[in-house]
Amino acid sequence: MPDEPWFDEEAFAALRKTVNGTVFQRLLKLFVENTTSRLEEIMQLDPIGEPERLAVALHALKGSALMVGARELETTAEGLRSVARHREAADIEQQRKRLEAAVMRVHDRVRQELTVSD
Amino acid sequence: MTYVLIVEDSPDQALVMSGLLEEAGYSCQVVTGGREALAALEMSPPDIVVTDLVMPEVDGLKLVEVTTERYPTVPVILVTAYGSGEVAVRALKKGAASYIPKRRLVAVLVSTVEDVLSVSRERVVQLRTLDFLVESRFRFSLGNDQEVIAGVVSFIQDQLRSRYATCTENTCLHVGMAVREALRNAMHHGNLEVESTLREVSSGAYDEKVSERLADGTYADRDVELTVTFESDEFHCIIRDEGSGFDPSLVPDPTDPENLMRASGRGLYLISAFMDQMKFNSVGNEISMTKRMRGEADSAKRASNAGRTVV
Repeated sequence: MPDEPWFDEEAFAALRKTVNGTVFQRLLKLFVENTTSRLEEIMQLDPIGEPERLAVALHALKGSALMVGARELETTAEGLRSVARHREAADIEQQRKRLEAAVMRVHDRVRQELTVSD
Repeated sequence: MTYVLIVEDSPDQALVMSGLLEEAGYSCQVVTGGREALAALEMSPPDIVVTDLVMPEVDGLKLVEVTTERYPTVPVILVTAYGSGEVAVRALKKGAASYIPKRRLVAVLVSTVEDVLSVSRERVVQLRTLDFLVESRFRFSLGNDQEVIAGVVSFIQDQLRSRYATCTENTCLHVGMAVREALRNAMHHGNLEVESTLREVSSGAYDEKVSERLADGTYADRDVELTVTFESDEFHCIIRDEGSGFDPSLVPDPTDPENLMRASGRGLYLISAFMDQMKFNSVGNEISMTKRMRGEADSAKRASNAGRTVV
């Protein structure tokens, strides 16, 4: 079975096609703002002491990722949720770094779209 | 215009949902959590709710529970992410109309809302039509066949659910229990003239007497007539047997909890607890029971059915 692409261009194109242009642009800007603040929250939370808040923040991040087709971000967020459940501090830190990188990568892709539209 | 309440705490996800639905001609209100959703429902019930499942404070599961209870004609669609399948199943069991995996949101949100609304509208139209129905009455001639009791009770419960938007599952259960007890009383104590005090001797002696009388035409050929009437605000049930009757004043007070523990009289205790009114005729071979179907909480539901806001 082939690996899933890190970013689902088809899903992204479908979104662009379905909602009108103004909404799409607003959505991309909101996506960048929202995922930035969610990431900050996740990096600051104590994953062992505040598991419920972490789960809610990761759920929101995953949902945002799914909207735009950011598959890698979705699976990385799910991975962090999974390692946080096992309360292994080293694994959690490693996964948080992966998550940060995944967010940056998606932001780069989304910003390309914003630049094109501008 | 059809009004959709969207409950989503992520602004980007809420924008996608409202964008898709507004593009399809719906009017949307976005709120960021379950608590705000409940306030919005109270202000002006929407035609449909689309909600995320995982939210802080009042989550989607609780929202489904409350909406189904207070606004039974407002359907709820859940938006679910990977990993929340178990909670989604619980929400569907609690009354959610459908669900959409987040991964497929863009592809199926509008069509799912349309599908659910079309089914829900049929139900609302049916309930509004039933508001004009003054009375419907059914008469059954049941003989002494205990086997038919379950079917009759189920028929009555179905009628209650479809007739009264306000009827909760708990009310259905209570009315069903009361009718079942009253029918058994009519068959066993009325027609077959088996004393309930025999149970205090032994349940075997009681059952044996029932079987004996069922084999005796003098008792077994008697009929139990059940008449149920569904009025706009009340449900009435009259059960009449062909036995020799009894003196109702000799029945232990069914409202006295002391009598709860007695082997006999339990049926009457349940009936008086579950129904709003219960009385016997002077001969003691006919019981009439009434359940009022429109209380204070019910008015709110009715108003929501009619699209009005309750103040």
